[in-house]
Amino acid sequence: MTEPILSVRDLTVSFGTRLGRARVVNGLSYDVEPGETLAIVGESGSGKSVSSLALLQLLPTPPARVEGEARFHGDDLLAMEDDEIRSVRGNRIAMIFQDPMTSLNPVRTVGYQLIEPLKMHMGLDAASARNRAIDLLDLVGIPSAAERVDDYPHQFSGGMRQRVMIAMGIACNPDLLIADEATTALDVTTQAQILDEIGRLQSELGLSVIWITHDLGVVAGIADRVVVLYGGAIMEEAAVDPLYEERRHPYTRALLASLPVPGADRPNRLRAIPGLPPDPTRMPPGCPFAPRCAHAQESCSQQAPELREAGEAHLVACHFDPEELYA
Amino acid sequence: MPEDQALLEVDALEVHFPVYSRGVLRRQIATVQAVDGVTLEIRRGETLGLVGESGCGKTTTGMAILRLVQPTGGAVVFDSVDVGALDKGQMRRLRRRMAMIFQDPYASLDPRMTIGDIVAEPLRIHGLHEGKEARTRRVADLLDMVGLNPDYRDRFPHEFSGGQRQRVGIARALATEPDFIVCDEPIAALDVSIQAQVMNLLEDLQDELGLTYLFIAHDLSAVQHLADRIAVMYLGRIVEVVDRDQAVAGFTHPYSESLLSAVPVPDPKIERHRERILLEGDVPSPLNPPSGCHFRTRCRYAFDQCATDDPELRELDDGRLVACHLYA
Repeated sequence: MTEPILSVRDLTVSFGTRLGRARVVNGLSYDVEPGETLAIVGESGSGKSVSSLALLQLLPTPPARVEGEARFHGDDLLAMEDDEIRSVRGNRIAMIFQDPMTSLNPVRTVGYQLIEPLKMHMGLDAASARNRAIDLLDLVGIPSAAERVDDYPHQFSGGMRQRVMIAMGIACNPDLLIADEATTALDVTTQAQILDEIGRLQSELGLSVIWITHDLGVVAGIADRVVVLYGGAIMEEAAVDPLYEERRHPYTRALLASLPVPGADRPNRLRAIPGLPPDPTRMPPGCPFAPRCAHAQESCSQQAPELREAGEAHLVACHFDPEELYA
Repeated sequence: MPEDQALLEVDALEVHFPVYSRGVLRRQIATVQAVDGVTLEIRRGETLGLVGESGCGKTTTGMAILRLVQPTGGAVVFDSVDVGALDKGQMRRLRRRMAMIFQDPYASLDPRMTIGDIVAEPLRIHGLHEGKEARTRRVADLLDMVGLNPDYRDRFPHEFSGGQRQRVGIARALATEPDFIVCDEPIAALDVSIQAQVMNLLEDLQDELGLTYLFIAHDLSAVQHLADRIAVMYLGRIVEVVDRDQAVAGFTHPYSESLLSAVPVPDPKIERHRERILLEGDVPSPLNPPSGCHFRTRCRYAFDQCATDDPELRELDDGRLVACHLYA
């Protein structure tokens, strides 16, 4: 087996608040294999974004406190000095965010914003950086790239801006791309274009991707493996097929069952999950999903279940055996 | 009352926004054709889903129906009354029977008002349930109806989660006992596990109160679940209207087809084998829409006639309405 390119162990992120320490990510561990797409799925407050910001030391500390280990090609990202992490960030690990309007500088041309990192990280001179910028815009499917390179972000549509973000992401040939809700703000037809583009880039450049999203439809289409987060902890992790098919954790099961199924006969009511996601400052003791879980027993609210093997390369954090639960 | 009677008829509705030049003269230099001849019918008690991508004019259509923006052409007939011919006072009385639920439960509630006051505001404006006691009782009923504890009435919006705030917005919409509610992306801003709760609530309220909905959304799977009929909009025009059962079998208009094919399905097996119809480029600007069929610049079937003639919305043999020269 190949070495994982990223290996996260026991990542814990907490924030000091008026109401005490809020644990937003609670002992997260996962690996990303070379060339694979790992999807991290969760709702707001599940810790999916914070955990990846923490990896790149993008959280202000304090108020955040980050513990654990994240080995990227063997080196611990969390232990790196400022200049070390800066040489990794945007260079070997790139990140693209949800909102392309707020992540681009409105008073600089798109070309300027692409050229800067090329000069800084790759040591290119102005002319070759500009040529590479045009190539990149072309690569992500922006028509007449040579002219558009001098346009400002507001001159691009939302989908085109997200393409610019991707171009910036892949500019320095990263090994790992972290996409945080990168297509959430886009229309579905534009999303389909972007997903297609990323898939193509991935097979051409051999990128590994961490795709952070709440959209279980997108995940089904692009992921090799899936980590389901809830309340800052992994509920279930498996390859995409067994995850959707077996749905071993009650949360995964409930979430998938709550989605409208196109083509279902007369609209029976959706199977909504009662209650609300937990508030990180008042995390329930025990399993974070217990207060909303249809199968919860007394022990669930007392002790947090360990993430354990339940089938081949299939991890589940539940006190109960799924075979018995859903029998 | 006959079942299939239209509660709302929208005929060739047009909302064009003028664009002015800078400077003192402020000449009109262009027109944004946000809604460009929309014809729709919504039957009593049904949910009509209106889907389309951002900028296609679906929200403006909803607002023009309620006359929250002034249509520049066409007619809206609500329960046999021509809404465009009403004066201010008459419109205000009619508006009691229409309401709107907004997308963003963070922006659509006044942060300085308690949720009790927010829900009571339409009652105050329309002079309903006069008297402190009657009004308090009505507010309590409304909060109860949407699944909120009436004891929360003195709390402020920031004390609630997104899903709960959306319930407050729904209670406010129900306050004047409307017949018709425009739901503008009511679940788009909510967490996945909360979306189903709100969709169920909207369905229950419809059953209980006999409401008629115009459900505006970009999320086709939500619309397919809730709506009895689905209208697909592109660049200011309706391109297709189908019954939900027909939508299950698929759409006919080339744009609806590609829209449907782009919706991700939460099943990896289906995703792997499905053919996506990827559209080229971006939606053209409504400032200067293409001649003829607005979709022709991105349509894989476009031929000469598409550039010259506007396709009309025509009824096909199976009853669906399609605006495409392929089916003329």
